[in-house]
Formats: sequence, structure tokens, C-alpha cells
Amino acid sequence: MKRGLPLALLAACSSSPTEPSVHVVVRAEVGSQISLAQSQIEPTSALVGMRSAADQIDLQIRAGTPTVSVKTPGACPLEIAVADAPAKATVKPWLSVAGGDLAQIGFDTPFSVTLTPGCREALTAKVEWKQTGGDPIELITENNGFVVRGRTRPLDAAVPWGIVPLSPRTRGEVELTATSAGHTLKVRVSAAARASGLPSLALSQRVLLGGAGWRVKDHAKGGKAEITQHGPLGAFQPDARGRWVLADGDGRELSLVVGTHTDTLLDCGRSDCHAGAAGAAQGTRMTQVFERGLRGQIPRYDVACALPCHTAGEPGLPDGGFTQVARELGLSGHFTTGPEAWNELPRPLRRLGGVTCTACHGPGAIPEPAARWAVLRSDVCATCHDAPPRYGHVQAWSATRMARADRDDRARKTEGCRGCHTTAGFLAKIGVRKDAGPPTPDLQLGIGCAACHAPHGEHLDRALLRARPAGKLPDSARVSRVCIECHAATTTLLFEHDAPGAHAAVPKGCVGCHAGEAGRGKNHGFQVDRARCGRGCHAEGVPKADASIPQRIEVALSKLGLKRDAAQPLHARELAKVADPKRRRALELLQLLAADPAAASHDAKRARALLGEAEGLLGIE
Amino acid sequence: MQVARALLFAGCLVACSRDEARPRFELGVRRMAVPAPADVGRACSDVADTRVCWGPGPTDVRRVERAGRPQSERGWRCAGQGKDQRCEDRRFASDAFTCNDAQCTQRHPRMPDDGEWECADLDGVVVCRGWAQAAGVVQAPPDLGWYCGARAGTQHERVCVDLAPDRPPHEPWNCSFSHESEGAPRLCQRGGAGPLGRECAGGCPFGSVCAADRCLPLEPAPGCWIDKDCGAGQKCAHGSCREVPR
Repeated sequence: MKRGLPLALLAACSSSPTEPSVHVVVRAEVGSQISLAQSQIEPTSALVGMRSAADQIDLQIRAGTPTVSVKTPGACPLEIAVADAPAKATVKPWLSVAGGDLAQIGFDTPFSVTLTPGCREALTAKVEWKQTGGDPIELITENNGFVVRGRTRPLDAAVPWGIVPLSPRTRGEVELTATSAGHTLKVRVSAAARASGLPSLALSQRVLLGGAGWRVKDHAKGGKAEITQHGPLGAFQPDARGRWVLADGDGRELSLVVGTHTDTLLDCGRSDCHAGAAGAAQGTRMTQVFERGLRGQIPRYDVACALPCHTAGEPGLPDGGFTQVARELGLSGHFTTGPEAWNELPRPLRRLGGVTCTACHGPGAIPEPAARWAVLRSDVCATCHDAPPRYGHVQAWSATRMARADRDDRARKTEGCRGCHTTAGFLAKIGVRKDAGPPTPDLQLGIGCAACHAPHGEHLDRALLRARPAGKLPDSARVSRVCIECHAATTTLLFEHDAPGAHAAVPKGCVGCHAGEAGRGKNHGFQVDRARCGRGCHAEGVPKADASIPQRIEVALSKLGLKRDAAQPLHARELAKVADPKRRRALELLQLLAADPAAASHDAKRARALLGEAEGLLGIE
Repeated sequence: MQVARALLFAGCLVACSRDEARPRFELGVRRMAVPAPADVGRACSDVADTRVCWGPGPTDVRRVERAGRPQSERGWRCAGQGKDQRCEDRRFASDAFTCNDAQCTQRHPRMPDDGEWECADLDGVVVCRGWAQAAGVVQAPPDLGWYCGARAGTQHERVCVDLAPDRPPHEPWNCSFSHESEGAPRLCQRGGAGPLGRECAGGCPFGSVCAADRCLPLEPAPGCWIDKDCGAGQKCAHGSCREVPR
């Protein structure tokens, strides 16, 4: 028997049909992710003409041909009886998941995945299961492997008041792979959908609620959903679009907007609104990443893998996101890459193809003004950038002091402190946003992603690093200009004086040394990479910091009746006025030295000079 | 690249010569050239399932024969005239109607481009008003087959007209856009007079003329959404300002 020809090759043979023929449409099952591009059709002599795309082939079959078969990788073979040819025939996947919502099963909750065979051959083949992603769980298979059972892991995430933010790392997701007769099927099972913490939810997105005694105070029009309990937490899954108001046991309210990605207009850039922001966002990698990937401009781009983060929406939820709309359009969900692939995407999908406005501000309409501060949460970025090992940004950042910058009540609430201890305060300090302060003042957000990155503001590079005026840093260190808005003057010895020390000339400035760990996003831990120092100016060996400096600072401070306390730094204390001018000057110098824990490393020579001056003023030998 | 082409060509030769009766295949996946030899005048367009040409005079409207097109489940959508006509399978830009006996729904109707649009269906002609580009979306070329112009009296708005929109099979249907529903789907109810291009019996609506026993639209000059957009003595018909006969 002759082997059929791949469609790509067949399509290259060009002519037009002239013989009597039957028109048959062969389609890949909706949502199956089957590509018909590699289908083989037999016998080729029966084909008079053909037009093909990834999920549909139009065949002109020579009249009188008894049967034509279509063989497709990952799919059941299809036999078409041409004599009584149906107008349409569907290529079914070898295996598919039978119904059920696997995107938000619940934490520490049993689940089962049942497979449906696409054909008799698939029914008789044994199915093997393997966990291929996520923290390990125990799996039990039944019915020749057509059913697999497991239990999601318990919640392992911080639980603030209100919506509990969940990222790819904390949503309790596992990837299971079923193998049968050489065919594989990947199934993702998640305890919960991702949640940004923003009070804008997708229809049917279940969120967990930190706090106690939650109830629905006001339902959206037509909505009937109520709070349910999920272990010690409340859970809410809206069943209608519109505004909902929840209240906790103390009567504290949480106003939610519920909608879908397709509902929400994208006219943010109209002339009387956010034209500047929309224009700036247009050229960013976040906007363009999916388009570039589809066009084949990103090497080894895996479209299926990219969908959850490079398009709008949560796969598996009816949230008007990319994968749901692809199903509504009757597509298989397999997308081929190529120079014209973006232009050939249907318009409704292009509007969802990218990290769109609604990916961060939505999915429903943008929240009411009182809640707009919430978009500054790093939890918003974490819905994609907290997915180690691929994206380690938020996990690395979480371990830094920046993430805890506002843990002290006064740092959050005192106007003079907010500028360098809160993201909202910092953005107000540098004049890019008004600081109304969060309506939930207990919530600790730290100095988050939005302080240093400007997704739709003036930015320096493809990492969207916020652009700031040149100041004292050389151009080689311009990426660190945003750092010295706070890490200068009163807090960092390095930049206090007019002639920056040798370290200021390090290429990239602060992050030239505070480069963190290697790996995507892991550099957001900002630890000093001493190996780098050894490769640069300190090839002869990285000098140890002068350990005597911190001790001498302690001694000098004690002369003023003060003591260093990490929990209460000098710049946060209300110090008594010092009348004596010498002691006052000494205190100023010591405040500067004490504020920079790395003073001895940043500029040891200057630290010693300043310390010597202070010691002299205090009469220390 | 040249090597790849050579391999493909060689493969094609082998593939095509393998069988005695060589299969014939069509190039082109989405858009293809479909010459329209009967086209005459200044401009031509499909109007529902009819082919219309305009010109040379400003009010000359005539029906011409429509060139054959390859078989397709949902039909073809074409633009251009004569040998420059290009056609696209309708399935690539919108979804199919889902129907019951009395009503069909198209969840994602076609729009002129990726921007924000509000549309209305008048006599089977879709007229859309656009007011903004979609923020955060990489723009692709506009949809095939729309006539577009600036909306009179506005700074940024546009008006686009589609004389051959998607329609369910087996006319007549009376279609509209449901702006009350999520995503403004297109709803078609069984009944009505049928779209422009229908027979003239019963009269032709304002903005169309009876030619060759069919109600055919005047050549589109999009620029209005409502009558107020037009000058004195004019009304808005299918997106274009037309003189009201005295």
C-alpha cells in the first residue's frame, strides 16, 4: 500500500480541479489541539483538489472513489466513505479528557481525570500516566489507565485579608502526561485559578478569601452565588457579570467587578483618556510577545505552552480569554507559526493575543477608583512571573528587604516614609502617580515590581525598567538610576557625595554588583555576585570588607547614647536635638554611615574618612 | 532557503508523478486570486449573493455575473475588481452561525479591523462606527471587503460599510447586532424582506435603486452614522449621505 503524502507537500502541487468531484470538509475536533498539517491522505490518486489549514482541510475527492483515509499524528484514523460522503468529517483525538473543571479543583482536594477514547483502537490500548510537572503527588490509575485519581496539595501561600493572590507557583498545579500506543496527552490539574488580588474577577473564577465571616452583601444583577467554605477560608465563585459587594464578619466590605476579557472594551487609548499609556504599551514585549512568537520571530516558541501567560485569560475557565474564544470560533486550538500566522488569526483572538490591558487590569472592567491601588501589588505580576524555574522574578524578590519595606506600620502610614517604603508612595514621590494610599492600610506590598518597571511609562529597555533622569550616575549605569531615588543621600554612602566612588562606575551601576543569582528572573534577589567582582577590577582577589568599621560605628554611636537596631534604623527614630555643634555633626555622619549596612564595601575609603571625622569630633582615640 | 525550495520542488515532482492520474491541488490557504471577468465600470462589489458594478456615471448601477468560486462551507468574501479580485474563505475571520428554526446567532461577528466598533444591520448591509484603536493589541491588516471613511463632524471616528456580510443560509433573515449581550453578537431572526440584492417587488429602500429587477445599493461613500452627520437635504443611508428626493 502506498504511503500517503503529508499535506504540506500536497499543497505545493498546484492546479485547479476540473473533474467531477465530491467536496468534503475534514475538521479537527474543537479544542483538541490537533494539527492537520501533517495529515496523510490515501489514496492520493483520489484527490482532485485541496485547500488546507491547521484545523480544516477542504478536499475535492474524485467522484466514484470508494473511501479515503486521513491519518493524523495524535489522532484516530479517519475513514471517509465517499459514495455517501458526509459534507463534514471530524478528526478526533486519540484520547481526550471527559468534561469536568480541572482548573480550580480546590486545595487538598481529591480529583479524578477520566479519558475518552476517540476510536475503538484507542479503547483497547493501555494508558500509562506520569506526573511531568508540579510538586509530586500520588497517583492511582484505574480502568486500564482511563481513570487517574489524585489529591491536590494543601495551600502554601500567604493569606492576606480579602482575595488570596495565587500564582503559577502557589496555585497547586500539576501536569500529568498520559501515554497510549505512542500517543501522548498532557493534562493540567490545578487546585485554583490564578488570582492577582485585584478586585476584578472573571465570571466563574473561584477566589479564596482571607478573613472571617464572609457573606455576599450585594449580588450583581441575576447573580445567585454565595460564599462557601474552603477549609478555614471563604470561597467565592461569581455567576453573573457586574458589581458584587462582599462583607466580612466585622462588616468590612470588598467591592468586586466581575466580567470577561471579551466584554471589556480596549479603547483605553482614546484621546481623552490614557492615550500616553496606551501608546507606550503598544511597543512593549508584553504586547508583542505572542505576535512575535506566532510569526516565528522567537526561536523554539511553543505556542501551547505560551497560552496561559502570553494571551489573556485562564485556560479552562469560561472567562472570555483566548482559549475559550478559540473554542467558540470552532478552532482545534493548535496554532502554527509563520510570517503570516498573526495576520491570519481571527480578529477576536488577536485582541486577546498578548499580555493585554485586561491581563493586569481586568479581566472585567477596571476596578472602581478606590481599588485601583491594587494593580500595584506584585501579585499582579506574579500571575506569570512567579513560575519557577521558568520565571523566578517574584520568588527571588520576595526574599529581599524590598518586599518587606513596609512591614512597619509607620513606614506605610507616615508621609515622609511612604516615598521609599511603599510602591504607591514611591511612584508619587517621583511624580508618576497620585498617592491616595491603599484603602486597606494593613496590607503590606513592599517596594514592588511597579516601582522599578514601567509597563506603560517611559522605560529604558525590553525589561521595561523605569527611566529616570541622569543624576550623578554615568550613562553606563543608567539602569540603576531608579535605585538611587531611594538608595542615595541618606541611605547609601556610595552616592552621597559629589564625586561618586569607584563603584559608581561599575557597568550597570547597582545591579552590576547586586546581580543576584543567574537564571530567568532569579536576579531579582539582588544579592552581591562576588564572582563578578573577581572577573572585573578585583581580579587579584576580592578584598574583604573592613570589619572594624561597623564596630567603630557602634562605639561612636554609644558616645551619643545610641545603639544600632535593625528593626528601628536611625533614620526612622525621633532623636533628641543635639545642641553641641560638634556632636550634632558627628551624629549626621554616623546616621549616614549607619544607614548603609554595606558602607564598608560600597566605599571603604570614604567610610573610614567620615568615621574618622566623627570619632575626632566625639573625642574617640 | 534556496536549498529548501529545491527540495520542496523535487519532492513535489516525485509526489505528483507517483500516480498515473496526478492529483491537482490548489495553492493558497486563506486568500486567493479569483478573477471576475464580467466586471465593468469604476468599481464592483458583492452585494449579498449578487455582483454589482458602479459607473462610469455617478448614478450608474448594474448587476453583472459573478465569477465561479471554489467550494467552501461558508462561502467566500471578495474585494477588488476584474482580474484583481481577491477572495477569502469566510471561516477565517468569524465564527459560523449556530441556528435553531427561528433564530441564528453569530457569537463573534466580523468587524472592519482590530479596533473598537459599534455596528448596525440595515437592509442586509452592515454599517459600523469605530472610535478607537484597541490598546495593547498588535494591529493586523483590516478585514477584506469593507468600504471605510471618516465620520463627518468628528475628529477620530470612522464609518465602515460591508455590503456582503456573513449571513445564515436559506434567506430570508432579518439580522441585527445585540449590543445588550456580551460581545455584541449578531442575531438573525427568520423572516424580513431579505438583504439588498433582492428582487425589487415591494420597493427598494432609500439609498438603493432598482436595476435588472434587483434592489442594488448606490456606490458607497462612507461618512455618516446618523442623519445628523449629513448636510441639509441629505439623509444617511447605509453609512453614506444621500440626497433626499424632493
